[in-house]
Amino acid sequence: MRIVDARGQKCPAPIILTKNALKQAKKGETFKVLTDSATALNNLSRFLTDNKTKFTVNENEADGIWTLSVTKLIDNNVGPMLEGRETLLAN
Amino acid sequence: MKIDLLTMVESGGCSAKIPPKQLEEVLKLLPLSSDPDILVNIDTHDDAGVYRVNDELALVLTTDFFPPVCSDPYEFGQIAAANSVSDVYAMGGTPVVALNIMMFPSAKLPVEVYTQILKGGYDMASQAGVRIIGGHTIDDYPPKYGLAVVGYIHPHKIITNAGAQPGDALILTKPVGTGVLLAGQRMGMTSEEDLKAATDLMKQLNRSGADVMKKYDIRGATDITGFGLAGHALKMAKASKVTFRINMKKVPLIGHTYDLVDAGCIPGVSFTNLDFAEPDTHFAEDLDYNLKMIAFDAQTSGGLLFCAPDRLKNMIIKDLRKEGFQYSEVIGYVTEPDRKILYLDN
Repeated sequence: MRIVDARGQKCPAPIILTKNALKQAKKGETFKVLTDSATALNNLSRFLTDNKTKFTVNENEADGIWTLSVTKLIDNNVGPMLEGRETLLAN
Repeated sequence: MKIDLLTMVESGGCSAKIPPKQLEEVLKLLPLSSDPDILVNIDTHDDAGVYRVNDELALVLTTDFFPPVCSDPYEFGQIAAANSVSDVYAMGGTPVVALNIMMFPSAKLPVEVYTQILKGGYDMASQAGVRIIGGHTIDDYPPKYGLAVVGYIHPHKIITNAGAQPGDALILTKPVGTGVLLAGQRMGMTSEEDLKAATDLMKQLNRSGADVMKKYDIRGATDITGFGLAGHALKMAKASKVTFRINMKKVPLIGHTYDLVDAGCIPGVSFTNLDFAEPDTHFAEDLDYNLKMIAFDAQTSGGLLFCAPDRLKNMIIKDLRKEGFQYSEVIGYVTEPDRKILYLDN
């Protein structure tokens, strides 16, 4: 199983790593995300909920590490680039 | 030795504000001063306080300071000063005098950095026509800088965040994305080009934008900073007792902000801002997730958000663009109070 190790990383790194894993995962695939930051856990939970992903959280009280088991449920849950949206460059 | 101020902070600029929910709870515990000459106080969470001196003159008072948002000390001073005077512009006032507020680690950084930050502040203040006439420095790490500003305003011409009327168009003068781009820079994801665009925008004074507001006799405005576009829009709609509808597809973005958010570069403070606004906000069912999070991106020295009669919107946008706000846009409109205070549409 794929493991995203976001221990020691502060936002936005854990979200970037998780989103990347979501993009690579196939529909139905489950992977794990490790974090030791309560803030990162909170933000990741919010991010995963909003992106219609199934996940569970396990806390290892001895070492203060949370393990999220994330399952990708739908294919298009990672927000494709908006069509016709040109990025602006302030010159 | 080249000093990089950004190596000293985890979250710089206005994203270093304390969470809005916590602030609201604390402010509730403080008594409001009652004095007929206080024209605007913290009651409506406005950008600055206003105190009447006589029938012709009121003072606009505000202060802002924050940790570094860029590597270069001189530019940091410029941005902090532009951000500090912005609250006076958002109220329709003219900033006049200011005091420096500085926290500086004298044992860790050469005095040259101290000088450069202050020089950047002085130069930006001069550009705004503001005289810095004093200040205060505390030894502290990481450095923080800003101004306490006093401005003038006519007591009958105050532009508050409570002045929005149903039917008004919502106009935003600067593109958003400084929070995302600065977080992206720490991750090595932001291009030099985008970083420069963001820095230039943070250094852009809201002065001429405020002049356009005054020309059209605008009564409702705020500036977009740490609580993000949605957070400040919500505060304004709440104070005005109306509902705001913002079309997130119309909101101008700096450079590759969207791509960065799409790659997961969402600053932690965006989640805090989302938490605060959520109970009063309706998100369109098909609202793009990235645009939703961009709505909560903390801006440093962001643009003005103001309400204008719908029939004037095109003329105002034309004027703003002529004044150097080339990305100013109509991003939504004001309605009578609806079930929610803020609607984010796609």
